[in-house]
Amino acid sequence: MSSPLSGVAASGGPGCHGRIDRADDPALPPAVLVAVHDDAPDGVVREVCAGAEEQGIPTALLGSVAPGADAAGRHAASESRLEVGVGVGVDGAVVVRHALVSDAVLGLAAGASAAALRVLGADAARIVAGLPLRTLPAAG
Amino acid sequence: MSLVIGVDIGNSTTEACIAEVEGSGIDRLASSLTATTGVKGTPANTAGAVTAVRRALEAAGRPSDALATVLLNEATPVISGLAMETITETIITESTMIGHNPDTPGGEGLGVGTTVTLEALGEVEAGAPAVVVVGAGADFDDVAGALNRALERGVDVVAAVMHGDDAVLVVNRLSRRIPVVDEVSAVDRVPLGMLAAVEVAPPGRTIRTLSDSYGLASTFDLDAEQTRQVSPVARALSGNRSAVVVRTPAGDVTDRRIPVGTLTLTGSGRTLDVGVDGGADAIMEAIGRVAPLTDVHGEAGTHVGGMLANVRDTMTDVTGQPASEIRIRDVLAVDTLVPATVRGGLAGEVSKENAVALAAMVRTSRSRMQAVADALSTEIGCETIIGGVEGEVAVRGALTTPGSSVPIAIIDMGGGSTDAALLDRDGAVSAVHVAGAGELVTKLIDSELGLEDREAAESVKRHPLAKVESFFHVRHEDGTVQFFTEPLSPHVFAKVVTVTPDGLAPVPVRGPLEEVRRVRREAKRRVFVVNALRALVQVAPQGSLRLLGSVVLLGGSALDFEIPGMVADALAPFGVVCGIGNVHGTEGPRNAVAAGLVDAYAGTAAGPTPVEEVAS
Repeated sequence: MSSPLSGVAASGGPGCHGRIDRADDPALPPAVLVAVHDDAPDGVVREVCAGAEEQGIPTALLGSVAPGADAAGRHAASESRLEVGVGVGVDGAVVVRHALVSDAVLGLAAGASAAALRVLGADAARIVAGLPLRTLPAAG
Repeated sequence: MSLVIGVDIGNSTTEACIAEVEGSGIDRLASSLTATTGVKGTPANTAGAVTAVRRALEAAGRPSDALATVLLNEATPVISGLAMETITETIITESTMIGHNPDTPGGEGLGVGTTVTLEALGEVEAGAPAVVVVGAGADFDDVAGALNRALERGVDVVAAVMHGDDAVLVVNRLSRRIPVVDEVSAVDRVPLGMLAAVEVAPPGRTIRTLSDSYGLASTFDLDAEQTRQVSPVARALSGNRSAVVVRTPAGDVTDRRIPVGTLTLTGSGRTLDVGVDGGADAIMEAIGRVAPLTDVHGEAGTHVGGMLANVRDTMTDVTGQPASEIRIRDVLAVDTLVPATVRGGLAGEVSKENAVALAAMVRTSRSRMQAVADALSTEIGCETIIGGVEGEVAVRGALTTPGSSVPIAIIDMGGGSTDAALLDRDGAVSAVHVAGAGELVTKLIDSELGLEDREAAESVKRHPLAKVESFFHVRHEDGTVQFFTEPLSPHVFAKVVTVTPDGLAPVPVRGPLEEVRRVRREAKRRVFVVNALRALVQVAPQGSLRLLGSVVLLGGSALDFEIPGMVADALAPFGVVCGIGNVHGTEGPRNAVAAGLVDAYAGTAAGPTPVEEVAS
């Protein structure tokens, strides 16, 4: 990614490894990858990362050119060593994906509340931890 | 040759068996099963009986005008009721403690200081130990910022108590690692300006100081008498990963026994009062002392009193018999633990309280089967004969199970009552009905797991459990692993589920699978196993189970995946052969009565013998 670091990396918090360029870096501990479009709202990323951090699971941010949350999520999940990825679309929609599951696991449309986004981030971490999910799954 | 149908109207199901009868030869064609409509033995049964007959005809591929005779059992109404009384409660006064278990508390260790709100933290003098109370809606960055500023100023911030689920986030942003307890819903009721202690244990551990009486004494500098007073607080907190204790002038945690009225038991010429709060053992012991029980009354205004009155009223409605003539002949009391919200708790704390569940049963000899038979004749357009009393026909039906022999006893565990009957060597049949069966088991599972969802409880009762361990595999309760090629739904991910014929159904509990399994098996043991033994002792020759010979399990519960094994295990020490009925070697535990009616009609079974009622 050639774009300058936006506020995105800074808002990931202490539980986040910040923005990374390559997911296969052996120095990077296993993490839930959050693929974020450059123009995605910062507040969404902050809440999603905070949710995962409260559960004690590290996250890392991955730049994404895909405007859609689902494509970004698919990319993040396939790159994550924990096989769990979150995609944040340019509109602020969020999709949680597992690398081995063909359908999206969870998702929120654009404009979801901070509390719902926090729970969704926590759920991405809870997939890794093997804990029951708290967001109502997406239709289907 | 004539086409006959035996119809058995049971408490919950109506079964039919259709056969061609020629002389004493029987050619069984098909059977059917439907839900019983109305209370057994009342005219409301007609609809269900008609459905069962129509379905059997359909299954056999015969037109209804080919039907010669419908055979009905002589069913008598049984009304059962259930009630539960919680007999203990835990009350926290003056908000002295917070003892819930948030999923993710922050930091670890013990912090002791004076409670102060986040807003008032700026006014705290440097050096003073503070426990910060954070209200609803505070953002974790702002909270961490405020605490860090106070720490820089020299305020000794030792711990925090928060409303939101933010403890880990706040602790991760602090310059000093302090214990933080979060998800305290009524944080605004935490007493301020009081000495408080917050303790968080490392993951996988439980708190050590606040859950110990002398730990509390050292923390709050208590004398011997004060230590005695706070020991219930320590007990209430043991086993938690995090806790908060506030020292207030009259704060306390009390366990109170709730008076819930008395049961008045009448039998063998005397009357005995027993307090329901004495527990199940005391109640059952009192019932033993007045055996045989002739009637039971409960105190008005209590759940149990209301349930007993309701059972009586329903029977009056059903049979037209005056309430004064209806006697409650059996009661089963079971001790149970129910999760209840602690009064005065700040975080929705739940404690396991003692409760007594009571099942009662009333039975009448006043059957209205003739009305059912008349309505059925009109509806189907053929002759209807009432023949054979349930217990007797069932026992003869059970005797067609390959490998069974006289003396033979049957147990039919239904929804409201457990029935047993014995056919002895002389051909005499005795029958007994005791209170408590499937419904009570469902109720126990529902309340002990705190499900408040009858259908979920019913599913736990009927189906084995499994834990979904990933999107592609589950671990069944016996430890076997099953893989799936299609990913499992996020609805069931990581949950304890029941394995039903329609797929996996989540059980809404937080506890582990083992806990759900233990509750399920204990409920079945305390009702089905206890009642099977209680009923068999009443019909057994000289009351000795050793003289029973064979015991055949009939009815829906004989199809349960674990009840037959549990009952057989309980009977094994008495040298009793116990197994699941297989009527005519093909029908399984169903259809004993319906097939028995056809057999009796064809004259292949021994003629009817008067039933001797041991108890009703």
